[in-house]
Amino acid sequence: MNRLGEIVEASTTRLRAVAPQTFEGPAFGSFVKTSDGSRTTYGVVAHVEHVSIDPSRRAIPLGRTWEELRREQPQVLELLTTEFEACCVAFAEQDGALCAYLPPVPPRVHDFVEACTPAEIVDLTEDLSFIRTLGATGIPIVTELIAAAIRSAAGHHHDQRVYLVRAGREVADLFRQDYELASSIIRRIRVSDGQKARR
Amino acid sequence: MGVGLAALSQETAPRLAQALVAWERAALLGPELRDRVNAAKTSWLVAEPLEELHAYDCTPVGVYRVLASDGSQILPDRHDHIPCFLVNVGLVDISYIEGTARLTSTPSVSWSPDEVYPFVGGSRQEADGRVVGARRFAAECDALKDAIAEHTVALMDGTLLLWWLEPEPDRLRGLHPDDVKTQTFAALNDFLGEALTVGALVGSYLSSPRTNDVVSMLKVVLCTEDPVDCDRCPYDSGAKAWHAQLEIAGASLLPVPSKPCEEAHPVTDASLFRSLLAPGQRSARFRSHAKVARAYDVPIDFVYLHVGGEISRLEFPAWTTPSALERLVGAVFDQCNKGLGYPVALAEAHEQAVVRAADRRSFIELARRNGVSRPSAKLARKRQGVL
Repeated sequence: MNRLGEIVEASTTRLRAVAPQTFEGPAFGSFVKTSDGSRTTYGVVAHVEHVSIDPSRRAIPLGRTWEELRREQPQVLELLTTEFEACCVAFAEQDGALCAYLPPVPPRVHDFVEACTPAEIVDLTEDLSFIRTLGATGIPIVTELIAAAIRSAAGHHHDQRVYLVRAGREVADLFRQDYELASSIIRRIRVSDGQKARR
Repeated sequence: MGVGLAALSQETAPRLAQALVAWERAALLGPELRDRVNAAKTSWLVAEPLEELHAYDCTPVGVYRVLASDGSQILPDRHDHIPCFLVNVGLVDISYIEGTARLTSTPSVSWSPDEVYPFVGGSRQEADGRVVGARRFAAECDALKDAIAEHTVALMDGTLLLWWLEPEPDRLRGLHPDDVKTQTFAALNDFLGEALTVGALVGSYLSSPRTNDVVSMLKVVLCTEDPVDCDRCPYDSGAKAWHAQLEIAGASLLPVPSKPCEEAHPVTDASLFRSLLAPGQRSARFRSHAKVARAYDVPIDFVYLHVGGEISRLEFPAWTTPSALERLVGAVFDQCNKGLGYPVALAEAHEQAVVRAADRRSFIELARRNGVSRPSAKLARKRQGVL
């Protein structure tokens, strides 16, 4: 099991988890899942941060490289933690049917978060409804989040270019009232010349 | 307040100068000083010098393993009617050999009748701040005892001298083995014994110490009598008169010295060594003559350190050899360098141990939910917060 973290806060729209190893959190925009034994909730990583383990203590500049810190101040690593937040986008009941909308109840605190398998990501992103769900989160970096999620999903689809074009059309359609938002997402998922050449 | 402190500082300066003169005289006495100190019958606690009186350069040691423990507690609360207490011990294990750190804390709740109503000094009493403090000290000793290994440096916070628990060690002899005092002294003796067995170094660190055993030693030097005997002080009896030296005309905050030993009053050891030590140096080694140390299996020695920002005191068991002392002091200097003036392992042990207000509220809430807390009418009214 590729354990990415343990949930410390959860709601029907978001979950917050602590990574088991500092500095080893999941990638922004990647797809994750958590299961309580009967229901699996899927989400997209919307925020990753490295913070002090104690909210009342801040890290201060120490003027040392990480190699020097490990040798001279090894406790520093123990006092930092990596936390991440994921926006819920779908869930599946025990029978396996995927529901591309928010779960009826939040995931449980202390359940583990894992990375979705490539097959799960394909199932989860085939109908593109996650874009609408992410767009409704209202978070300030929604443009970056949707673009990162589409890029993350595209790599798992058989024809990446076709998928990106479909996703671009979905974005244009969903955000047709907000040209700036739609165009900024599309700019961020555009296939680069290098990617075209590789195909 | 600033004006008052400045005036006091101005008046203390001549006293410090007298202490420094006495220090010079003491240094010249050589081995005679130790004989004079040991023969003195004083009403104050006098340090016994074990080395020549001068500053010793120290080299910080960089490669070692340090263990440190510190504790915190939640006391039984009269208004919350919580008949239990909590002791939380933080333990830090940092290896600069392997570049690893382990930070842990172990809370324990004491609730049984024998714990909340224990024998203290021969009679049963409700566990108060002193009892819980003793339990906490014993838990700190136990945590270190279980963790130490050969060549590790074990650090504690505060003094090893448990004068606050029992100033008269002779009283300990008749106490029951289950008595809080007996158990606390036993925990310290067991820890020190284990450290000696496994070959670990032990140091207890006092930041900003208010002790004055060394200045009291200088009072023995300042005294005109030989041998020194406070019970037969000719200045107290009026047989002799003393004319104060270096007094500031019109000074009023400190009483004018009426006998030679008062010339160095109220100088502390820390202010004395601030004048005698440079950063990175330690004082000579001294032995504590605190009565309470008689209850220990081993005497307690100490040195003062100039760690840069302040003078601190380091206490350690007398079995610490001169070379082990150099390693211990070198490690403590390194700890202070790494911890911005205070041993980093102790600072982290404190952070692990500390019981924050939110933790305290959770503990009380848990106690309330389990039906062991019933707030007093006064506290309940305060918490309602209604108009």
